[in-house]
Amino acid sequence: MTAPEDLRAGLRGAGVALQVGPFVVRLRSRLDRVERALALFYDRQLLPPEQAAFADFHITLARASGLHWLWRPQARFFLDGRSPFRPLPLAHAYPLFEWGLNWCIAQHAHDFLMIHAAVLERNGRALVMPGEPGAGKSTLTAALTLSGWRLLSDEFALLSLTDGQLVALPRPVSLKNAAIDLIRERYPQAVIGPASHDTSKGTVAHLRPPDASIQKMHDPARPAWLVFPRFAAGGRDHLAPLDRAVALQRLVGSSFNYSVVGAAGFEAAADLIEQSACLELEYADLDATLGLLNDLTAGGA
Amino acid sequence: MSVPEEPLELISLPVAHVRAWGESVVVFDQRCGETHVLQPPLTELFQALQEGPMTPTALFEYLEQRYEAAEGELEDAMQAGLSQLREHHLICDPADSRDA
Repeated sequence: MTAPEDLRAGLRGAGVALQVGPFVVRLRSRLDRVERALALFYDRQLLPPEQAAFADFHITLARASGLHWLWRPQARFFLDGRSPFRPLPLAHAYPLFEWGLNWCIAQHAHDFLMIHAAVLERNGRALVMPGEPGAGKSTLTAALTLSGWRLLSDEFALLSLTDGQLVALPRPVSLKNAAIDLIRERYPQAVIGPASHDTSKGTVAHLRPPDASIQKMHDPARPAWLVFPRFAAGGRDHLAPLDRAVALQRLVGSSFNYSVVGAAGFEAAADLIEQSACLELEYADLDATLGLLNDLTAGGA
Repeated sequence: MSVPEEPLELISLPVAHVRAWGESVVVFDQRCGETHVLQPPLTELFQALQEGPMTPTALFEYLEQRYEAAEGELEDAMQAGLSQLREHHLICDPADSRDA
């Protein structure tokens, strides 16, 4: 456990190193809200200095310079000293870190086929859930995470190009809008950080991953189910088989780097399809859907 | 004297880049990075040519044994399928082999 004063000194000095799945992130920031968020979400992933000689990403979050900070303070994200994005309101500094880290991973982690998908594991078998924005992926991910599934990732399925396993990238689950209160009310044990309002995704708040997800951060999982969720208010909760060729097309369409990794990416994606039950999920009621997904582990598919 | 038919031949594809799933065949072409999803009756043509080069006549006979269709319809379907395989660049261009 890192003492608060050490965290602050590290962030304001040479930076602190975080183990985020297979990546080491070195982060520097003088922003109090980033420090608080880090203490809440990443305290278990801080590396001692002797283990942090190398980092994959060197990130700085700083207050944007210029006169406008007087009436509209902003935060800026830097990777290796360069700022790839426009600044955001200072109140969105922590979401900016998470979104910026997504960008870093998507731009650089080509040892994996990267898919915009949640990944959870139970009994050594992984559930991969790609989802368009609004499909309800993060809500389902949070609910499953708080119901005994191990969180591997909320945003990125990292599919190893060498052995076809899913590599964990446990980070806070990004909850949006109505899902924040839904999860808070339903799971009183959930640790949810402060909400950031009026972001490009509406109101955003993050769920701290359970200890078990962090402790097993280095344990990969074999794909077993590929489920494409779609939230349909008033709809009928059901799982239906999905044609494998269609599933592959959707999977590829959700990948960040399929065209970059070439043949190895096709082979990994096709192997995942062949190892998994491919399903479409229409969901309206969280209880009913959790029942359907939990039944998968009991041999339902 | 009749002109000998040029045999039709698929491009060389690693086994791992061709996946037959139900009625579909998914093909990855590593020359261009494209992924093709073939549906019947294209899959029949593709799978026939996977067995080895065939002349159009031999291919027609292969299909004739499997489909109950009027000769003209089958010929049209075969030609349409071959056009699609050519559009996907999955059939060797005879000009390439002459150049080699």
